[in-house]
Amino acid sequence: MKPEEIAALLNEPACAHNKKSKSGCAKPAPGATQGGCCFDGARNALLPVADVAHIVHGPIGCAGSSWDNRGTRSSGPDIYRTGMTTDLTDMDVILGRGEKRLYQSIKQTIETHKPAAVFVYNTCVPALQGDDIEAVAKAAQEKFGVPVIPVDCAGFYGNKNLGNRVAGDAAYKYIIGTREPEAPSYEIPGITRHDVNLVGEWNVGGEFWNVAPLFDELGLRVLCSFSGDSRFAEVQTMHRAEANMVVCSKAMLAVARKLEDDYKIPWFEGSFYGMRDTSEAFRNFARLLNDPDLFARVEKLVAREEARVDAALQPLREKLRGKRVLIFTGGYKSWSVVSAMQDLGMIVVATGTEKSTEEDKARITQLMGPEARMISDNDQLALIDVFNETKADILIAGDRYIYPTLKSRIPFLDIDHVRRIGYAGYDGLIELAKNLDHAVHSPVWEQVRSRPDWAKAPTRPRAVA
Amino acid sequence: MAEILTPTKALSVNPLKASQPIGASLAFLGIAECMPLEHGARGCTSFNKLYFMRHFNEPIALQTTAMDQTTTVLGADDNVVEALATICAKNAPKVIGLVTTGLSEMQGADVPRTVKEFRQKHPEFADVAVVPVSASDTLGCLETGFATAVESIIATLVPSHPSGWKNRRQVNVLASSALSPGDLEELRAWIEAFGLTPILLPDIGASLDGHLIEQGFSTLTYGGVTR
Repeated sequence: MKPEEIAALLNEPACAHNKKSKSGCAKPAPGATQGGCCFDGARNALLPVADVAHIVHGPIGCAGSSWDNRGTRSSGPDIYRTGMTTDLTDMDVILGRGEKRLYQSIKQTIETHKPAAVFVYNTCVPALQGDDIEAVAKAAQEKFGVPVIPVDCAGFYGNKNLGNRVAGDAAYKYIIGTREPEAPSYEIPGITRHDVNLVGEWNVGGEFWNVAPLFDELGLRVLCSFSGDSRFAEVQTMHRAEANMVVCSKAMLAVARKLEDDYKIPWFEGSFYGMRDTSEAFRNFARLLNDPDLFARVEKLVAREEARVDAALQPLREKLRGKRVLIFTGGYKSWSVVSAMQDLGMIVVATGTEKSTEEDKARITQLMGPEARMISDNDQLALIDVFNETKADILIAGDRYIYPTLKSRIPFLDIDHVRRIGYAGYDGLIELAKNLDHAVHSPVWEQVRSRPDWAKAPTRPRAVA
Repeated sequence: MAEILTPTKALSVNPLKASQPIGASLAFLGIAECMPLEHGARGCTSFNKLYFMRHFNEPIALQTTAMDQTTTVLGADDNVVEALATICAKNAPKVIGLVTTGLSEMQGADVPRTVKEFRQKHPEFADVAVVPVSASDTLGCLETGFATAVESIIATLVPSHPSGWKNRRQVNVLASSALSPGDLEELRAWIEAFGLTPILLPDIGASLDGHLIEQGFSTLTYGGVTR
């Protein structure tokens, strides 16, 4: 991929980050960098397409320790969970056999696994070698008659966010718009059906299944949930939707924006975390689709669901009320999770704003008051200091904070995308409350914080941060 | 005698094979107050960190030189020097394991020379040991990377002119990568039962066994064999 192509991907007019003078993400600092690479982001974004074979073209380092590492779930085919790599060796590199090996790998995949399509991910070594994966994909597609999609996402191109964008770009360029949707298998009498898409919903821990039945009930057909529990054939039809929802993902905005530019599909950004946000998402669909009948049905559904959740949450609210919570996530979630916590009657003492926009920060201030404490530094030691300062009871953050937090004897709840429990939708909020209760009230905290009789006085000084 | 078979198929499916850099990093995780540093794109480190985190249920000390498109093409030696200096200043380790990856090996990174450059530029960090390991992704596997790292640790950290004094009760144990933290703890107990003092290299039993330390969280390893 050329530098100007990367620059074009990083320039997203629909993204609020773009308006700031410092656009894009800062250059990584050697020796003090966290987070994944471009390949990581691209494969994360496309891996949930369940009936596709995902081939990683590179040495064992790229796929060897990372295949099947996502918590996204499928309701049918599970070929996406099969780890496939060309496992390039020294000889392949020296003799320039990479392209040939990739071609043979595609052949082998199609013959043994019969996937709906094959996605090929480029990595650092073949990219440096100059393998033309686009040409190989094209040749293989013509020869074997199965779609082969090249995703040029070598790790050194940039970070995970860029990888998400590369994935969206590849999907738009090669997949979306290549097939017309079929007629629905059923229609609800007396209701106008609308076709919609979700962009950036990964079905982590099957959480979309908390919301999917509600879509059915409202007569909203989800043409494609990109890409959680989706099929290749569904992604192909995304251009025929009447409205798009971008779920918690700034990196996938380009897909929605291009669908708007080319097919005039309106879109909005929303989230299924918390009661208020879930209800708001359905209302936004009704608004965009401009259907008063749908609007009335949404209101009825929202009233019913909120009453049900309220009742289910009552005993948990009693237990959680007044607990102080420190949230450390980025971007959209920095405030969408805040509102979920407030729904439970908890006090949010501070929230992370690492990847948040000015708009996100304004929402935080609106939710938490002008005194809201925002943390933009992603240093783990500093975060634990803030936790102690604010006298919080629990930390909610992504998976890279699990063990530092537990080592510090602090209750923790994981809301990363690799978790295996779904927190989306109305039922997700109940699940979230249950897990919060378990984490905060676990008897283990008292044990690890108390000093056993046999332990000596502390001798080790605190290490330099 | 075991026979090593070379696969004839183009595609590797559900590979039960991990890369050399991850093996080399594992060896460094068994050294006290250490930080392994992988010289490559940040994804290498991120994947390896996650893999160990899931396996050991522990925080993992691991850093990256974060090569990007420019440094991949124009040379990433400055990244290595910068990363070493940053880690020394920020985390104050005793040992840094400098592990190359497929990307930096392919680029032709000359790590020993870069370490010399770091020594010249940053004399203030002279007491931090840097152990370079060449570990390409395109060759070998976890086990060979681990072995190369152990070799390099011995070559770099064991004094070449030992003093005349010998501890007659000391036993050196070169622990294989297949041994779990529990295995190593057991091994230590057995050897100590004979009245001997074992030195396990590397000793992940002392670092990745899930114990809590007084200070809570550390960015370095939580224990292991000392330098």
